[in-house]
Amino acid sequence: MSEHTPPESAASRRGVPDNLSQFPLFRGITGPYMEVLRRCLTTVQLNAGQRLFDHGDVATSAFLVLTGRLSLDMPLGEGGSRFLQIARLGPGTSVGELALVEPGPRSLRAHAVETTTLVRVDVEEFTRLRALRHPAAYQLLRNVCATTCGRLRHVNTFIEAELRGERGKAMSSEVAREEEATRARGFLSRLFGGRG
Amino acid sequence: MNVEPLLGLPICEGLNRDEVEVLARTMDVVACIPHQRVFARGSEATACFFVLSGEVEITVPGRGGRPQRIAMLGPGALIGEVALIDGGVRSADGVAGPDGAHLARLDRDAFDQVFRAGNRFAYKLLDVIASDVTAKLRVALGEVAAVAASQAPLIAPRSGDA
Repeated sequence: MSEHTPPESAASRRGVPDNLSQFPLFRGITGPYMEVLRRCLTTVQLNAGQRLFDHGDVATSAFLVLTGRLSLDMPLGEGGSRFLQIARLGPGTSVGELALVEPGPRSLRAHAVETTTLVRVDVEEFTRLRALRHPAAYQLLRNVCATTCGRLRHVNTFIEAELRGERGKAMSSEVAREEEATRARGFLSRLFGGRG
Repeated sequence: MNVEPLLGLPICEGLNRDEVEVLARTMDVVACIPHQRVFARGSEATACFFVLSGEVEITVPGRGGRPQRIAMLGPGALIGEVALIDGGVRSADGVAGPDGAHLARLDRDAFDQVFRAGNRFAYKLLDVIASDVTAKLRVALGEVAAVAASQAPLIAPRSGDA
């Protein structure tokens, strides 16, 4: 299955705003570097309920939410028919950016909960710039790394405090397991910058 | 530091001598006696290290606060590389092995300098760090997601979902 891809039109490129460097994903990328990076960028507009990508899709893009809101859902078990909403993502948040490091299947599902506009970074075009060792591609990669490192620190801290540390003494209780699962869901929501 | 020890590192494969020399000018060699602390968990992370010789033991507090070894890293290994990206504090302790260790230290400021100059080593190092932290995040998220899903209230399938 392939994820949502916008038409490659001048209109979708013109919709990419000029002030992207205010967002963490594009921090430090300005002037001629941003002009080069624009080759990778288009805008995507989704209506409420429209899918951005599904669990298992081959990841071909990273996204930045400009307006509107996305729901980020995690599949439960095999089969892919039941999902748990782990976050709602609003303007300024990025999603799917690990695809810029190493493309692979999506582990989550994302769809618009209201009319939503996003900037899409095309992985193939980005990978081409990266292969050329272009500074714009590497600054973007560094920004993705910064987000990833921050999330990794939070996840490791959570795992140490909530899972490994407490599990031995508390997990015999059904109530404790339920509380732990609730904390894990709240944590994931905060981690992805959502409002739950 | 002298360029020679760096030329043998896996991270420098494919780089020419001039590129590695630029790097060598920004790095220092740290000689550690046996069991000397290289960095402490909770301390500010301002540099990464390449193991030139000897070993470094990486530990985290285990049950009862006793150090629990999570890795023993030998020549060629890269340690504490997240420091180059986001600073923060060390998540583990690093101690030289029983025979001591020689390490090449790269400070974050020096990395920033060679990165801004477009040095190929800096880009290659970033490639390695990006792959490493992405893989680690995917594994760690999988662990939390499994717990989150274990007692989860469900979202009904949306119309049109398979």
